[in-house]
Amino acid sequence: MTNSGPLDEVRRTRFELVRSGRWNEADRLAGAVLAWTGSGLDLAYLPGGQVPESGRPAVFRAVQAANRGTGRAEAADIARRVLASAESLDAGTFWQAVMVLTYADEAALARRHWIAAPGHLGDVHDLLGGRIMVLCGDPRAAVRLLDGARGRGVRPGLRVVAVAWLVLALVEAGEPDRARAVLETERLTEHPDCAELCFARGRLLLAQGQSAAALDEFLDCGRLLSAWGVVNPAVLPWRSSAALAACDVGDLVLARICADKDLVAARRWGGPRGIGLGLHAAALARGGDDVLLEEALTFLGQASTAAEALRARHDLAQLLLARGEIDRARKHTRRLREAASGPQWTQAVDALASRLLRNDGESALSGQERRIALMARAGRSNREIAAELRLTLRTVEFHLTAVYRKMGVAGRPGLRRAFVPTA
Amino acid sequence: MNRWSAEPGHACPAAVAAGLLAAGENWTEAVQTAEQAVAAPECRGSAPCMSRALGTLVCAGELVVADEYSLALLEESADDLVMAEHMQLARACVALRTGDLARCSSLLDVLRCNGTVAEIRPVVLLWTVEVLVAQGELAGAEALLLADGAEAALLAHTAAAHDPSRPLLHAAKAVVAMAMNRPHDALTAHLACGQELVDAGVLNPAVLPWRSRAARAALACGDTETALHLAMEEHAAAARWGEPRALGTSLAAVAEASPHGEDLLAYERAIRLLEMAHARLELAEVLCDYGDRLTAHGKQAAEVYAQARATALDAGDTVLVRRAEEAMSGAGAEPALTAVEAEVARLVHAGLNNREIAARLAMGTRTVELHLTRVYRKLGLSGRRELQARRARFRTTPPGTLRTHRGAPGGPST
Repeated sequence: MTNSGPLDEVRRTRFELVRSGRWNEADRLAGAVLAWTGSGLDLAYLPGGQVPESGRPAVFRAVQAANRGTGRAEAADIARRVLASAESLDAGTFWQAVMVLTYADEAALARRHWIAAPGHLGDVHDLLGGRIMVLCGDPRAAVRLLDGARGRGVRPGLRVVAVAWLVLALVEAGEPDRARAVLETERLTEHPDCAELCFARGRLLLAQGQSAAALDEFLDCGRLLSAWGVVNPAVLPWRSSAALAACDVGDLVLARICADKDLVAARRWGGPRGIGLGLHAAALARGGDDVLLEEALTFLGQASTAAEALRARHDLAQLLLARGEIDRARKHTRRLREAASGPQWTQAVDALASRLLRNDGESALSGQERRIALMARAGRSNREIAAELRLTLRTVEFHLTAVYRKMGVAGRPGLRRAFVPTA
Repeated sequence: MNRWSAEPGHACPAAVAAGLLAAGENWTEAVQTAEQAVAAPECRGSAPCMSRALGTLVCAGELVVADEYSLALLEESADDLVMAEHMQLARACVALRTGDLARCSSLLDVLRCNGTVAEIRPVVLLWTVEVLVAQGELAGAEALLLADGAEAALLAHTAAAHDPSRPLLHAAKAVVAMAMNRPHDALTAHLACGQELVDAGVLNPAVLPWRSRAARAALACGDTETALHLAMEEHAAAARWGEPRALGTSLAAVAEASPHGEDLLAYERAIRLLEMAHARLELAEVLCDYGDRLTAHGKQAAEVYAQARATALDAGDTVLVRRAEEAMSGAGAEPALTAVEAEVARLVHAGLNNREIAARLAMGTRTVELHLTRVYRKLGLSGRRELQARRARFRTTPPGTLRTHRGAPGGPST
């Protein structure tokens, strides 16, 4: 990374333009500087953006397009052509091109190029492998690669990305404790890649049921990305994730705002993964919409992002079960068992199956039970619920016991993880 | 942004998008239809269509996209003057909504001086007035209102129903009245603006948040009930639309009109939403309000004011910069306790219980409890233990404002 005066000036001007809502002019400025001077590859957001000592203006344009969230086909095309070119690639160009492919949901293609890549790429190769493996639904392989890379040492510019992606992979692999340990050993402060770290921390907190803290992390992530002018959820689907966290804390309006915005942006970009995540979030933000969830499943199935499809199917099965649509719930539980990978998913499927055994269509909650369950799930105390619904404390306790029994959960913590439809 | 409904039999995507915006019920559909309009060849060449599509995108908070499309359209139709003016207007709107007052002002100046399209004049007038007021140029804003003959236009057109410029003229009048410290006039004008909009079928607060502005005016008139009612109505409508700026603005109005104790959380949520929306002007104002409310609760607000000042400075809103600075110079100190409250606090700090204090100060234990509650609230403490853990000195109001003599130990009891 160069520190020459004029380039710093450009960098500042670019941020100033983005801050004043002149996103397009900011992009043009960056493009012009790059075309003119051949340097300034860090003028667009890319995690590990300090890798490219060299690089190509064409790939830079693809990165810009990915940030803006328009022109997916062209961006993927540029990346594909660069990777297929006969000349040997430097680490920076390889990093940029493979990242663009993963943004464009071309994980299978990215994987082929990754396997074929020459060995001298070292840490860049390992890290990209980790990212590709998570997207292809093999988080354990990702953990091996990322852990190995960290053991061998990664260049300073990639340290933060390595931590963030390892945490994400560990969360997907069902090892939140290890993820937490990794986060604690690393002391990271101001760094351009902090958005990745916020996102990973948010996913960890969400997986552990600390939704309010997770929401804050996702919103921080969004703040950092918007300072860069990143709009595309394919870069980091922070709004969809924030929507899930907001649902958990009972703020359905915020959830809907986040989910819909991501969904519209994902459709603009056209990547199935982002659309599926947006649909999933939009379904939950509407208090549980099984049609949207089914649609989400078809998109997530296309993108072969296994864990995300599993999550959507799990929510769908819980929703159907809570509604008393036992046959459909059973079908999805079966599909879930076939696809389940990792201990956390086997456990989740077992819990669903045992609830299904106990419930024969009687499981649908009554209106009052649903209201109380939702409030309890949002973290309200029994006393607060009683006051708000003008019931006695005993009545609230009575209803909650029925909710726990009907939903087959052990208590409040179980309720938080289980799905309660509002409609 | 003035033509809301499609002409019968001619529902192009741009008209449909504008209709969806006006109704304010389906954000996703409105954004996607507006983008279809930009892509549709029959709409793309038409300035009114593009004006509707861009207006919808801006009011939907899709500012990045609006910025991109307006620039592209501006460049591709260089010889179409009408299109150019509409697109400059859209760009001015993006600048206003992201809080770039300087650029907004220069774009509007060009339109005001050289503009030929009659229907955008009232929009330009309203936004210019808003910018001037934010820049502290009240006289300029008022002069502009007179020069443009807004008043005369409103009187002359009383018969002509659904003139799209009328709500905008009312709004401009209201903004100036509010800034000139005439809240009653502001309230009347805001309500008139709202009535016109509702009559025209524009129910979406993202187009013009007249209810929250009216709520502020009502508060300034001392009518909390009307203010709360207006704010709640707007909040419900903003939640239906689902766009963070409108929602944050309405939530801040709700917080402003709410009784103490129910407001801080609403402010925090409003700030979060306005940050998401990249709404620097609104954010700076809400931060100032939040700081005032924190101070009233007896809590520290210096950081909030500092953030408000930085945001206002960034946006070029000199009025808010000054307000935050004045608040900062006053806010460093702790809120003052009355002499009795300070005495009660001192005795609690010394380890006396309420009954002992009551005996010492010749008052009932209930009265002691009452004073203590006020002390906790003013100092932002949770209770006796926190008070006892504090340093011993308590700042009191100057003796001139002393309201009672009964509190002084050994003082005369009436």
